[in-house]
Amino acid sequence: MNRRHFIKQSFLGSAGLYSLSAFPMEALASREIVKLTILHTNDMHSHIDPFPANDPKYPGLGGMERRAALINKIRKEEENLLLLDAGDVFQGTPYFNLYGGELEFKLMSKMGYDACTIGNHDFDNGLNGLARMLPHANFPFICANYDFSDTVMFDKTIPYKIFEKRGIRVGVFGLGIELDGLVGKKFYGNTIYQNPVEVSEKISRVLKEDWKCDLVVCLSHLGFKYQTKKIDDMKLAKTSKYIDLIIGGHTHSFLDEPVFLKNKNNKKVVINQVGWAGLRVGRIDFFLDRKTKKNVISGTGYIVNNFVNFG
Amino acid sequence: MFSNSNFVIKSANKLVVKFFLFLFPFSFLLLSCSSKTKITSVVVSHVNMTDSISEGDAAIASLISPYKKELDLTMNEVLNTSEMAMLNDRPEGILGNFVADLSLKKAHEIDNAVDFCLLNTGGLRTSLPEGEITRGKIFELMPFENELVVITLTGRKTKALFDYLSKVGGQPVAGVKIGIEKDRPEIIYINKVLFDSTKIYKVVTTDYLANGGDKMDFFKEPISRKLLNIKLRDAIIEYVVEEKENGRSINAKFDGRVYYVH
Repeated sequence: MNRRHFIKQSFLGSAGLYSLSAFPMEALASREIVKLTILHTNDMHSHIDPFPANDPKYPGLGGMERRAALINKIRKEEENLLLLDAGDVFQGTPYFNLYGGELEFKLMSKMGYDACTIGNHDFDNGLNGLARMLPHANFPFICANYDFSDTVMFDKTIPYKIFEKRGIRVGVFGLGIELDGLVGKKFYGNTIYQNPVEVSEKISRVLKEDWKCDLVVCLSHLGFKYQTKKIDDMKLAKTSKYIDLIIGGHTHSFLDEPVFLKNKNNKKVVINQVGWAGLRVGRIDFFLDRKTKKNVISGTGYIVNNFVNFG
Repeated sequence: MFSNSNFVIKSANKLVVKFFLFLFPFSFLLLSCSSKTKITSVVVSHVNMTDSISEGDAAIASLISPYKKELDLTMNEVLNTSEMAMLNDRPEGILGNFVADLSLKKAHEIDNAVDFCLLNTGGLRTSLPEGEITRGKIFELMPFENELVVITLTGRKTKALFDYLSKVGGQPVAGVKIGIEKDRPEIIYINKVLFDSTKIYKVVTTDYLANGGDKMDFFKEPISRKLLNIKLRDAIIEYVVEEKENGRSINAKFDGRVYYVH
């Protein structure tokens, strides 16, 4: 069994380093601490079947059947689980060309996805193409910065949703990428892209302060990191005040470990993204102590292959 | 499995850190402890799972099955074989060369005056394997309904095209050879003739890029624009099938068409 250790020092408190050996295992046992497991995917791009055995990059990897088996296994182990996707469900295999995304949404519904945001490729059959597929999904589409009011998508998305797990309130909101220059105008029509920084500042504050969420999660299709001024998850995290976790997409970034940053208020923000095509499932475990308000985070990733393992 | 263990690890800047490895089997561990504002340290340990899930979920499989059956009827058809694996790369990639070359060839069948081809790496959505190439694989390579279009550009805008190409570190091209110095073009040949900014050039590309996709703004307001009435995916399929009919498998090669001069 291989094992790798990573050490992060970006969050060293000014008083120095603290031993974590005081982590209250007894508290977890006595249920003072709630464990919340967040599983996530992004950019699955219609990859329903595993890559074929002769694929030069990902031979035999991925596939929704095995992802479902993995998720079911974790569901049996974890009481408080959220399953989220950061967009670009559509486009990438003939399943999309032939069925327009119907099977993708049906499978995600069956797997028990709690929410999904909208990626640029989810517009690939136009607004009508997306709207027509929504009845196949039993989970909400969460996006706060696309104004669909003058389109057929009006009223078919929600800006945020609050999930409650054993008294822990988790506010999830979504952000989409700028469409101009990325998606043909004929596909996105009268959708208005609103500044994600402004929108997220407002929504995340509302979630944390007005709706008293213990955790604020951003489902982002902005992309992990750009060299240019273009907004990305890294920049969003640094300018934010209330986001705890950003589940990213778009750039197909395989992060070997989540990225930890400090926000504007010097509080931590976690960013994670798990590549594309359902090759990996991300996992972040939050341990929330309801009494002391302390939390501890544990992250895990799964590569979806014959030995659903970890790489 | 792993029991509670304390590790003393010397970090890069020589601080001695006492770590606590949390013990979930099968998970890489990343531990941070924070109060409302304070996070003290984070430890990540990465553990391979030995636990095997070779079986898929049966309910999911039965949901996929009827769709897959219908899809396989058309998509499993083997169109040709490839002599090599073809992947995207920069500044020049074998997959990009393959698709750009055949696109230029297809454009020439309709308009022989087309000078060169420009596509985008991001638009080639998967790799081609060595061996059998199915129709479905070409759909994965080019899932979009993008059409080939010929854009006629001024020399000045053509120069802007090559500036862009250099800045982004290469895109799939055919009919050109370009030497890049850092992020600028230094020498450009179009059909073996040096680029001349007083001439006009005809470029074959996709309607997606011609409409400014991937920030290709130089395609906006061209001298003229002509749809070739063929989708890029269909052009690829046609080419692959024709090669088979002519008794040839498919291949591509690096030829240094986009390179760094230093």
